[in-house]
Amino acid sequence: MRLPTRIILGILLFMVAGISLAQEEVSETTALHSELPKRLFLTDLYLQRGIPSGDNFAGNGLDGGTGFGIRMQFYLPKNFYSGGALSQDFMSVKNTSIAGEYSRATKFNAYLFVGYDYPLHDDWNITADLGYGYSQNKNRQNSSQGGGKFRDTGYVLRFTTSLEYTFSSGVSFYFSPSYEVVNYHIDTAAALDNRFNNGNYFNLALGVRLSVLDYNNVALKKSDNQDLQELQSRNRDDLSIKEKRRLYFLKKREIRKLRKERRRNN
Amino acid sequence: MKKLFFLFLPVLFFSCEARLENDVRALFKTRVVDVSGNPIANMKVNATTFRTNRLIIGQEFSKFSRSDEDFLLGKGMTNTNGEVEFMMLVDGDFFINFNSDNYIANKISVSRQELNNDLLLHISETILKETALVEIDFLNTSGTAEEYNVTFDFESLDCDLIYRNDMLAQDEECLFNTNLSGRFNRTIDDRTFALSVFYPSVIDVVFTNTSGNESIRTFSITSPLERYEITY
Repeated sequence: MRLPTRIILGILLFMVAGISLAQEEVSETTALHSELPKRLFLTDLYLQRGIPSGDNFAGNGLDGGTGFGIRMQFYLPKNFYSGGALSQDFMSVKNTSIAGEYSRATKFNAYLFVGYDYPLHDDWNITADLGYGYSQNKNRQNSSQGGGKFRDTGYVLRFTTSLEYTFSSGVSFYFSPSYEVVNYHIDTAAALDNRFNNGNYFNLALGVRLSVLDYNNVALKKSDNQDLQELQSRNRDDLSIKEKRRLYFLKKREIRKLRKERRRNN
Repeated sequence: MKKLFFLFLPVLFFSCEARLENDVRALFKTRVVDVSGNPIANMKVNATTFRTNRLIIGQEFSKFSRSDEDFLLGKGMTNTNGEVEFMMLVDGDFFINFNSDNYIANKISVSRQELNNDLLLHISETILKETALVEIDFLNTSGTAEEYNVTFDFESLDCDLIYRNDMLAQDEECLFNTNLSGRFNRTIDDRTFALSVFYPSVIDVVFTNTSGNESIRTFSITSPLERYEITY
């Protein structure tokens, strides 16, 4: 079994184990979950290390490098989400006889994805999504090769997972292994065909996740804040804009307080 | 603000930087032999969009193209059987250059169309010639004071082989093969002409005096350094 296959299986196994173990904890913390606001929208900013793999021009001819990316996703019902992403990876050529007579390759991806966000615990989430989109390697020769530039383009299929730890209500950090297969549209001589059909990349990313939470739909029955209880008990349509705003921030503060208390008790 | 965003969005997807052909890799292969049919091993072979000009034997010097259009497309080295195969990038017409200590200035000029759709350039056999320095002395033994015109017809190092319609051939239209001409005996003296040529080859020397008498000499070049004397 090749290395990338093993890595993917490892991630899947880890996720399945995580989900089945988490089932028991959820029942204990259901009460707390009901107080947690749902996610509406989030933005990921990350740095990643891309590792080309596979028996093709990318795996044998390119050397991995660092990259960065941004992902934005909005939430669908039942913790499903959908979004778009942009990324850029800076790689170098380690074997010109396999990849071609150039020295650097910058991989640009733009893709859309759908996935599922599973809350393992109050502070821990795991996500998994599948994305599809456009990919382009911008290739450059060094000065001794003539400084020429050209592109290799294709479509990317990307499987992304992440393990996330929430620091405060809107900010979390995550570790995200992902695997992508790019189908390149490179015209080649018949003898070279298999080498330039695909490029596989395994990526390890570290990033920060900024969430926009839905405080409006959280009911805080246990709160001892009189203002909050009073505003919450009234019909939402009767509230003035100022009152709605006040309710929002009271809820936000209350949830933050609850989270702190819960951490202290744990 | 939204308009501005849409204005700059295409910049992410398009750029006018790319100068080599996108999304393409070609394959070149050939077997390199000398004039007796023996394979030439360990010879550097490369594909470029530029060709170099020979200044003095053993040195490749100036180029015939603008420097921002000079690209190295691919390179390889012949094995003991003289075979070489390498993958190359593509950018219009190109040259296959052969370089080793004994073989310089051998080039094949290939047009983009020869790659066709199969993106394969397979020249079954490339026969390379070595280079020779030939000196031709004109010795005035008759004491004539007439001035002479001379032209040389030879295989110039500045002429390429041409690969066209799956055939490798000498460039018949190459101007350098007959370009070299000169005068001698302007004042009564001897004169030496030095020519760099591929060998084995034949040099035709045609010299004419002012009264229109034409003389022709033909020399067969078979070694790297040759010297001939013509008396008049």
